[in-house]
Amino acid sequence: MSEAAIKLTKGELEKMLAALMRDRTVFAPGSTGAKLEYLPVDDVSDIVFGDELPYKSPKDVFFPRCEKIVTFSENGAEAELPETQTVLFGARPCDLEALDMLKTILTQGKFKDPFFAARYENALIIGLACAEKKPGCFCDQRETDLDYSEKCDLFLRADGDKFEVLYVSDKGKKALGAHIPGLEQFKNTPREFRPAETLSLDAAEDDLFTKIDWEEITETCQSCGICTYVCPTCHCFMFKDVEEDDKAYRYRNWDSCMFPKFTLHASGHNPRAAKRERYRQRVAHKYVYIKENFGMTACTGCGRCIRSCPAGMSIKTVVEGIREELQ
Amino acid sequence: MNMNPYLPLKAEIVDIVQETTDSELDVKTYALKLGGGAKMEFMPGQFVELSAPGVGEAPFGFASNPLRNDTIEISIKRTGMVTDAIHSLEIGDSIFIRGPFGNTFPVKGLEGSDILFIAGGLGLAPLRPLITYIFEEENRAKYGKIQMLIAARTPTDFIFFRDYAEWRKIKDVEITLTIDNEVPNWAERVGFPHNLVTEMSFDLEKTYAVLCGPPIMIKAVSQKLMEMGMPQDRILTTLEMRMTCGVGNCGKCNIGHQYVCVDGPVFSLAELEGMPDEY
Ligand SMILES: Cc1cc2nc3c(=O)[nH]c(=O)nc-3n(C[C@H](O)[C@H](O)[C@H](O)COP(=O)(O)OP(=O)(O)OC[C@H]3O[C@@H](n4cnc5c(N)ncnc54)[C@H](O)[C@@H]3O)c2cc1C
Ligand code: SF4
Ligand code: SF4
Ligand code: FES
Repeated sequence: MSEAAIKLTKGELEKMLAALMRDRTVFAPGSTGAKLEYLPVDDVSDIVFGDELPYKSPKDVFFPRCEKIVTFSENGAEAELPETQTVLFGARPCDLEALDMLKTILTQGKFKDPFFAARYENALIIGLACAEKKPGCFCDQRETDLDYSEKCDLFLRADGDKFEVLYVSDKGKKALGAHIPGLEQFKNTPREFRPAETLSLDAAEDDLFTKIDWEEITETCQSCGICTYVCPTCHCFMFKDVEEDDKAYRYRNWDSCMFPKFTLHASGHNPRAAKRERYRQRVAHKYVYIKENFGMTACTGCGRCIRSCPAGMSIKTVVEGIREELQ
Repeated sequence: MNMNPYLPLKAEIVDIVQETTDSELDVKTYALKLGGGAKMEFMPGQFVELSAPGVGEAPFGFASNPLRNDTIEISIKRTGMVTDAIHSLEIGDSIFIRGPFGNTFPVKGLEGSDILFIAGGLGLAPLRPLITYIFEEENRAKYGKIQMLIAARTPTDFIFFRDYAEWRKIKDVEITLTIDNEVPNWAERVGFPHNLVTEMSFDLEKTYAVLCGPPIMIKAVSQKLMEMGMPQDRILTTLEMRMTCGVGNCGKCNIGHQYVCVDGPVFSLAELEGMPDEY
């Protein structure tokens, strides 16, 4: 076995992605305007390489912001599970971490979400290391290592004008093997995973409710929900029915715990009517509740909610403040 | 349960009973039969999601005997979009249903105990599966004395009124009916349940209280029961929260680390005390 790692030139990588595009839908960083996001691309020249983090997470590749989940007709109710084979290219370590969390939450709880599961199982996920931390990112304080993640099929790291490639799963190895003859001759040593995880909360639920001044924390919050839309781990949803011709369809849309109507009962009663209660829900759900249920903190430190918030709210500062208050 | 928990099954409405006709409380009970002779196995306390296609979906508790599930019954109060649409359906129409969801009343844990049921208004509906389960001949001897305090605002607001006479014939069953304000020709009690419960006698060592009704009633009654010495883990109730999925995925019914749709809707007062006050 050679000591050399597998390296692809940008041209070779593009060739591989172009080949994958023949029978799969490839999602990759692309731009429709000023901002970068994960878009379906059918031409490699549309892919934006580089170190910029797309402003939205890639969660909608697996959990679209709007999808048809039921068709009602004379014959009954039917569902078509997605069969598309996708490739997600260029997901960063933080997003790989987040997708793995979504997989746990949506497929390993009491009921499996069959739409997410079908998309996830049929996908080839190609991760990409971040060369550097961006303003607002705090992955170095969360369970994310910006230089490596094994929660994908292939992992790439830019190295000069080439990309070093590691295959992480059998699926990844097979896909890569189709383009690199004699794959076995190369070194495939995963780099050591070095999560720091210094920013977590060990607070009792009760303390979050009684000892923290959420009113003050949320003074500027607009309840716009942008933080939840750009977040890679937020996954709340609602159903919406529409009627067309003689059929009715049920769509599933992203919802947000930041919206006042999220918890509004039909009686008019609303358990989280105030924004301080809703913002507390977002922080507590990520840092405390999911940890109680699944053993992980559902915030990767990707910084998206911080960069996109029109009111300058920062979950990092808020969590740091709570730590100071309670620990 | 099919592999897709979001996919409802088609059912036929085989009977409709108009329970109350008040402008503020319009409740109908729907008897449903699943398509293809299928049956839905459920236990007392669980709920379903009912769909009016094109309008939407909402959660409702089972209201019928789980041991007689050839048809299932669900009582629905008209309150908004989905419930309006369901109220406009007729016998023979189809409706879509998914479930059963949620946890159950501890039917085994209650064996050997006396039970005090306290229901306000529509709150009797989700208790009816447990009541009828206990009153089944094969089960009756497993449970002790049953007392029921059923409250409604007015005499015409009671639901399942037709059941009471039958239930009263069963051994060791005592039923008290009460309304909010005095009206002519009313031979039963008048007053709020939390004021009447203090008159009831029960053995603190072996009684469970099972409550369902408006939040304010649940709070007032459980307060009184605790003052009378009933331990919090013997007071059971069912919670309502806004829901979408019913299966723990959409985040809507999340309170603390619990999800009312999968960890509830049945909780003891002791469990509720340990949860953030967000319901
Ligand atoms: C476990 C459980 C058991 C229940 N059991 C019963 C039962 O046995 N019988 C019974 O009658 N009821 C029961 N309920 C209550 C029942 O689910 C509600 O009455 C029902 O959801 C009302 O729905 P609706 O569409 O008719 O009301 P609506 O008022 O139209 O909708 C309900 C709420 O959603 C809001 N809303 C509607 N659409 C939107 C939207 N697009 N965006 C934002 N907000 C929106 C409304 O403002 C309202 O607050 C139960 C509830 C739970 C959780
Ligand atoms: S924290 Fe910021 S992004 Fe989130 S709802 Fe409030 S204002 Fe909007
Ligand atoms: S909460 Fe903010 S920083 Fe944390 S994962 Fe979500 S978007 Fe990223
Ligand atoms: S209703 Fe969706 S999580 Fe409970």
